[in-house]
Amino acid sequence: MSRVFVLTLDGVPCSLLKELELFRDLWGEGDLVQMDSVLPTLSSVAWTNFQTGRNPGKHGIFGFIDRKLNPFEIYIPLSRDIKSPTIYELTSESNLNAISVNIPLTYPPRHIKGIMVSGFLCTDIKKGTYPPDFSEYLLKMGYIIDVDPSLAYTDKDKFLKMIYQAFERRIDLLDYLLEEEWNLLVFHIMETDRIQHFFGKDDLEFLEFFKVLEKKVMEIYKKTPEEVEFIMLSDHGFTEIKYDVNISNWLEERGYLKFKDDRSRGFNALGETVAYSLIPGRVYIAVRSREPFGIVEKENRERIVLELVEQLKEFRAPETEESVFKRVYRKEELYTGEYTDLAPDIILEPSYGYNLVSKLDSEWLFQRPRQKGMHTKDDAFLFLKGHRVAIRPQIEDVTTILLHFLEIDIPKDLDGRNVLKD
Amino acid sequence: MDKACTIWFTGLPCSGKSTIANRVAEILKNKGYKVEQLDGDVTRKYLSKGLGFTKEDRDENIRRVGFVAKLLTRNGVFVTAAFVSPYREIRDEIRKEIGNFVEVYVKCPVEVCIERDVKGMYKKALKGEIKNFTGIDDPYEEPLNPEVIVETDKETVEESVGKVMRKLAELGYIDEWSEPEGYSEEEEEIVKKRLEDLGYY
Repeated sequence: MSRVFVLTLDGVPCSLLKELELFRDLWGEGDLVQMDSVLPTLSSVAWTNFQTGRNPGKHGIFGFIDRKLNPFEIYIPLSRDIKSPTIYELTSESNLNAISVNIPLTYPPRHIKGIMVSGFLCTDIKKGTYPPDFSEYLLKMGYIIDVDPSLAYTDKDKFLKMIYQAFERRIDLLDYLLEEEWNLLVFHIMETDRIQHFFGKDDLEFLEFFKVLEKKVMEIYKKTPEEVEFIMLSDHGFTEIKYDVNISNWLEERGYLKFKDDRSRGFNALGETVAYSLIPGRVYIAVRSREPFGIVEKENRERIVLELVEQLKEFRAPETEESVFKRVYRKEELYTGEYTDLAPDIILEPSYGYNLVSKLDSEWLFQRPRQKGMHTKDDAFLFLKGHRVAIRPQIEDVTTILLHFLEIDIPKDLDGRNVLKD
Repeated sequence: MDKACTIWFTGLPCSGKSTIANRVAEILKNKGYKVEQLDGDVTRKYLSKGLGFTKEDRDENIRRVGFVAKLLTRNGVFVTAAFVSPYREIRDEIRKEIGNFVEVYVKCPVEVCIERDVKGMYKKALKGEIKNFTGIDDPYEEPLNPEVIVETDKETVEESVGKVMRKLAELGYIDEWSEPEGYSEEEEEIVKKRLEDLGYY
């Protein structure tokens, strides 16, 4: 059985690695390929595909926020809302030592055999670490869970400084953990995502950060024992935003969404509504007796879905005449599994540059963006040292590769495929 | 010496006994307790080699496991025992024998267990290749008064583990059990703000 080290770089596009010739020294040592992420393209969903090897219809995570029904409530899913076992349960069952650091949606930390340090959206190192004693080490070394993104709007220099601080502490921790005993080490860098939200490829700060990243990662790579399986991947790509597009407003303009009260009250202000939306590009039919503001009879749901899909496909940006969506999906086209019922009825895959938001309190449809970058589904990357990849991978395939290296039986309901050549 | 107990997981094959038992054992070890894990794979190899799956042999297997569990428990070692143990009478017998006994009924509909069929045993039993297979051609007698019931088709592993740990604390076998926490109100506000700033809310 092999030891496996997985270094995960949030949101790093495959195209960027090639364009900037990043990690060029690695390219000859294995296979670097473009990889598909998931819809909705969010870290919490993508990393749950990675953690479970399953699609959202099986693990039940569809976004950073979601809705509960009976009664209707918007909530923030936590690790305990993941409905299927994660790779860490499988390693624990096989008596293998796993260390997981900073993977999104691992808070509260699961009680695994090994160490679990929660990532985004954990706010407290002590509560986010298992076993709890390990938090003492993290606190002592000045570990930072995440940077405060509000600084990007108010003090960009401070924001940048914090990104470097968080990154350096994280690399220190990785340095330490490399020497520890583990069978599986999964280590996540979040700063790559944060920088791309607020800086573009034309910004010097952007290029400088990626050069520092490359240097540090290569140092770590050289320290990794030869016999260890080394995997590096991202969970989505990034592209520059042209417009923020408010899907709630699109629904309102066409009479699908109505307010009975001041829109600043959000969902509480909704009146007789046919469909509503959650970030990014999730559209739900509001069913009578399920959503308090819903007026669609259950038997009409499918008809409304088809009607909306047709209209959404026609949606173009006024200035550019470009289609706002690359594709419009019904949930049945994307998900399988017993939690598909929880999925949005319609999922919108945006065209590059059209950042989908769902703001009930704003009346605009198109707006110049607040941020520089948005996520892309088709431009994540996967690097495997010493192996070739046979087909274009999807993020959940990585789980199957890990289980294969760790010689753990592949659960029957896993969606991840073995994409290794031979 | 600390007061230990035997935590006895009973339920159909593939109901999830070992998964939950392993997690409970892991948590107890991390809390500093002494723990031994007993399950069919180990005991059938070393303790009960030669015994089959007739009612008499199954009872004898459980009786031997119960004896080992008793020795460990009275010496301050927690025992997690994951056995189908389908017969009520023998479970009650070892309960009396061991004393500090926490019975966990790992409940799961047989259809779901067949779907899981981790080792392909149900498939063989359904084809008639294995006889006396619990849930197919041998009965499973549900516990009447187990300390804990977990329903693995409805709960996450975390939830089931939480139920067992809570009961151990309630019965005074462990000092305390605090659920992995979620957000405090203040933290939830911070989290919402973060999501908004990143454009995810």
